Amino acid sequence: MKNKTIKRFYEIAKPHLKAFVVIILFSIIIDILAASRPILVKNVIDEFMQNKVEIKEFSKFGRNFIISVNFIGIMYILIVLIENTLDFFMMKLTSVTGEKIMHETRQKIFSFSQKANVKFHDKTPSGKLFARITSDTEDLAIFFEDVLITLFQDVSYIIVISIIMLRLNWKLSIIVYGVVIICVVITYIFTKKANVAYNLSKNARTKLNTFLAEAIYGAKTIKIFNIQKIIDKEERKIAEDHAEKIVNTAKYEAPLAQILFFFMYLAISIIIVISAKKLWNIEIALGEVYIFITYIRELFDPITRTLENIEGVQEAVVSLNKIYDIIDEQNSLEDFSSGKEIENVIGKLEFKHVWFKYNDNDEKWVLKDISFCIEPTQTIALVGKTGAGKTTIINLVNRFYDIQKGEILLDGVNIKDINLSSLRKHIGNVLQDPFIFSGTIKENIELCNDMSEEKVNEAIDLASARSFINSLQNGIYEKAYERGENFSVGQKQLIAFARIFALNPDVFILDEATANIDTSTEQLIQKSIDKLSREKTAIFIAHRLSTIVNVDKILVLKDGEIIEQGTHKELLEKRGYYSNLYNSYYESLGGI
Amino acid sequence: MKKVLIKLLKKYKIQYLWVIVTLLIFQITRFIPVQKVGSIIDLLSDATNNKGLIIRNFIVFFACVIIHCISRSLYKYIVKATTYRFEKDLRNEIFSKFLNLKLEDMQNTKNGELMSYITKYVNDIRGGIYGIIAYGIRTIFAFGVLFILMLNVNWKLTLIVIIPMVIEGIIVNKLKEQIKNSEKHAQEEYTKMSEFVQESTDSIRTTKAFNEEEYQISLFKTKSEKVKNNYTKLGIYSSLLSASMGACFGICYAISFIFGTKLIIMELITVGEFIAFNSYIRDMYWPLKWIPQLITRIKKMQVAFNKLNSFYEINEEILGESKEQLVGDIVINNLDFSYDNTNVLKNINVTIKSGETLGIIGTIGSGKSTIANLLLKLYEVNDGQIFIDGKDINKIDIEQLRDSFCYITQESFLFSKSIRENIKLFREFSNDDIMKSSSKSALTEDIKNMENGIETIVGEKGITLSGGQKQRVAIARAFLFNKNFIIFDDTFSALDNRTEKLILENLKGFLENKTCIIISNRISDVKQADKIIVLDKGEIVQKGTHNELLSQEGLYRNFYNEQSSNEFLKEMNIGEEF
Repeated sequence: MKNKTIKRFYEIAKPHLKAFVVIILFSIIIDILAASRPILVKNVIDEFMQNKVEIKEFSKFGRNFIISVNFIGIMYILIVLIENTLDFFMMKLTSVTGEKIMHETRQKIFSFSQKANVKFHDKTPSGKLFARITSDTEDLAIFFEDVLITLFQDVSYIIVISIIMLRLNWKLSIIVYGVVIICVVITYIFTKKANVAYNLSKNARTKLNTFLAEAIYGAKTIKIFNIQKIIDKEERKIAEDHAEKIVNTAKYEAPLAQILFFFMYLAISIIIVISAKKLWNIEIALGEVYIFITYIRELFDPITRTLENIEGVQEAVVSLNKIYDIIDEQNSLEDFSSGKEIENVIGKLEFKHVWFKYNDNDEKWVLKDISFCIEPTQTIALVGKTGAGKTTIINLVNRFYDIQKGEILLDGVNIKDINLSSLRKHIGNVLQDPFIFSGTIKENIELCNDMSEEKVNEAIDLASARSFINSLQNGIYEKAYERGENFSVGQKQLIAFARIFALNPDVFILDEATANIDTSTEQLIQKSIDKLSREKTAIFIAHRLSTIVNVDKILVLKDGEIIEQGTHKELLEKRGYYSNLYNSYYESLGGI
Repeated sequence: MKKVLIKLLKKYKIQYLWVIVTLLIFQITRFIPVQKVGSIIDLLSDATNNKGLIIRNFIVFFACVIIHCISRSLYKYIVKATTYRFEKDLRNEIFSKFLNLKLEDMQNTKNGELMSYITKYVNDIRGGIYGIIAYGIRTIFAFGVLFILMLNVNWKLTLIVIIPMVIEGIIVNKLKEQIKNSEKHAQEEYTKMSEFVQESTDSIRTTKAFNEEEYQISLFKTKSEKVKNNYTKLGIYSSLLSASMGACFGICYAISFIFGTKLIIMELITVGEFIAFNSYIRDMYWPLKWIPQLITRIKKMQVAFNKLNSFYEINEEILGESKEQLVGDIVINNLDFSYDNTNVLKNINVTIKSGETLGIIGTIGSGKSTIANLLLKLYEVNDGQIFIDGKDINKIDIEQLRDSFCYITQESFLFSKSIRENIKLFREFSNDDIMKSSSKSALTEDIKNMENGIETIVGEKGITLSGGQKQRVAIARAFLFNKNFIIFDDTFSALDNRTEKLILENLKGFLENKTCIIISNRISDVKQADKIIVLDKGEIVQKGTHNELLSQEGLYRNFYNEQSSNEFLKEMNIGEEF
């Protein structure tokens, strides 16, 4: 284990050091109590049973004691009760601590992911992030709750038993340990082989599940192309492979426990033979035979568990490092604290010789020397092919990325100098396929702000979404499914417009939907667009001509450069790229 | 369903017999060594005189250990192999059943639920069978053998020790119920939390744009806290269970030596017997823990069985008997169709002759795709008739019908396999044919630019294709399969004009002698068709050629005017790299 890893473990365990000390203390006491119980039984066998008495006199410390079996029995029960009570509290504390650690780590990584910049999210797939927050943190909890504690308890138990055995009869102990070591080696070899087979079966399972899921998703395709029989055959092949891979794991798994069992009894029989033949002058009392047999049986569990747990440690190390590799990227965090708070925004937005590329090492610039200015309440539209830089400009206005050269100014202030939250508060986005959170429509409109029903309703009216909302059974309290699956793209856009009206930002950004929207919804959306563009500074990525003909300026982008700008009319008169495309399109239609 | 299970159980009856036999052998040989150790210990007190007996006992002891190890290994192997092979066969049955379901029934069931049928429930049935063997039969047998062995030592001692165990058995079952409940709660909270995480990692841009970070963090905190609390509760119950087991067995040991000593003094049992008895108590530990497991598994199996049973009762597709080759004429007569009590199609009458192309145009929800679905018998024709080559579609064999059609849908589903596999769809075609059809659908350039060419893997583990690329992969299928009937359903929407024109050009020659239907909401896709029908709310409102329809007042001309403007911008903005 690297130093860094230990430091990371220490960092998450530090707030709970007290708990760990208590746990360790408890488990040592429990181990000693558990190991002492067979000694009591041994004494009962040697002192009472063999002599066939119930009461016996002992003299120790110069005094005589009279002890009965019943007394030892009560002692034994007391020990059992104390031991298990302690055990309960220790396990409880362990699970409380483990869950706390998981909760804390989860929060740490989740808030990191929320505060990290868009660049970080671009290179980190959301699935990966999801796994870090959910399953990797769980591995940590398992580590602290199961692995670490049992590992410690098992090892200390093995040590306690070993000490007792050595003190009782060191020669026998050595023999027992010889057998144990052979056992450990065999288990280790077998487990390694079994793991290889196990991984193969896991892969086969993934393959099978992927295939089955695809067959379900692609059911219509399968029917349409009449390939049921082929798919059926394919499934049988994959399922067969999966089943046989699992059967293969059984080859290693099946004998493993039995080998341990065999060695356990081998050790027991060696002890019996030795005591029967009095080999090597070893004298063993009956009670000792009992205690050794008991300990041998108790030893095997902790030993095999320890072997398993060592693997658990390795898994936890991997998960921990995965989590921290993300959290440690401190320079991916956005700065929300510094910068100027802005109020009373007029809405003049200006790009001055902006150069931008997504990664500093990239050779190609995504935006090259872009300059334009939008006066308050003016509207501009961006047109150009995929990759021309339309979306990039929108991203930059939101300051999702920082530019390399040039300046972006809002009301004459460089947006780099504006507090990030404050900047974004004044910018409202309606994206192509707006993200709808699972929750009510009201929650989706107010977002993190608590709003009155009236205010939400007002926003809905302004967004012309009234008839749509009224058509829902529960009105503004209608639940949206995950990602708003129960709404069409057009309806989602209406909700997104209501958001904008409710929050009332000063700069309005619209990425118009390309999907087909039914005519009546489209008309409603158009109303909202008109209203917003009249009142606010607006940037559109337009997909419909009716949106674009009225804007104050169209920027035609190509390969990250502005190649033409002007109103629709001006551009058509210019006879450049825009008008060429326009005319050729109408010619191809055959014109009217 | 019952029949299927019985059939499969019969298939593996010899294996299951072996499982039972090895189980019995290893259970018997499991406890004899314990007893023998006891006897030997008694004999040890006078080792020299009892030499013969000790050796005899020792041989039995060791033989039992070896037989136990071998039979138990065999048991474990056979039981795992058999139950998993059984599971595989059962899954194959369910999967075949699934493939034969009607499309409506598939669509009425959530994908997740369908997945449960072929994975989870099948798994639960196997788990139940395994549970009955490994926990049921074994527990009964272990208790039986141990009880007899214990009674053999002394019946009074046995009874007195059994009492705390019975009490513990009840406690264990009660606690297990609690554990199961809190486990369910904990899992529910966990699911809620992970759904939330999924959503917020996907919505990060929206979150940032609306300054939602802190809000999301606080929402997450409450969710994660709930998970924490529930799992802690679960942990406490589990600790309680394990501690109570420990306490119970500890008390049993104490009782056994208190009374054991008395019995030894009364010379009713020997020290060796006492030591063996002590081991028997220990061996009771696991069977006691197995009982709740057995109950859970059997309950799960019952649920799974009922679920699968109702799944089996869903009707399969009606096959139809006529297997004659289909050539090309389609006649649709007074066709009505409703779905979920809403009329989707009303009084549709169309005739398409072999070699003709029909264009169908209409807004979203006008019922365009339903016509195609009916032609492929994805839905059943109930009201009105469809004739193909003069034969009623309901009488035509479903496989024969679908084999004559090539239906390219709106959203083309791609398997996470190579592009080649996705074009040929698991059928056999020569490389040459595949290349030709991919070039006709304007895919060649795209394929060239991919790292592994046509062998590039698509989907989750491979590259993501753009909407246009996906559509062209689907179109390549049409060229490759070369069927007599071809339907394109909104297949050209993600293509830019030049690509679309090129493909339509390639189609011209290809479609000679074929019957073709092009469904779209774009004028440019259908204007070349021999005949165009305009659908509105499930009814044909206009019929004719492009020029005829343009000269009329109506929906078609409205579409034309509206689209010609927007399509220009689409052309400007989408413009696939070509």
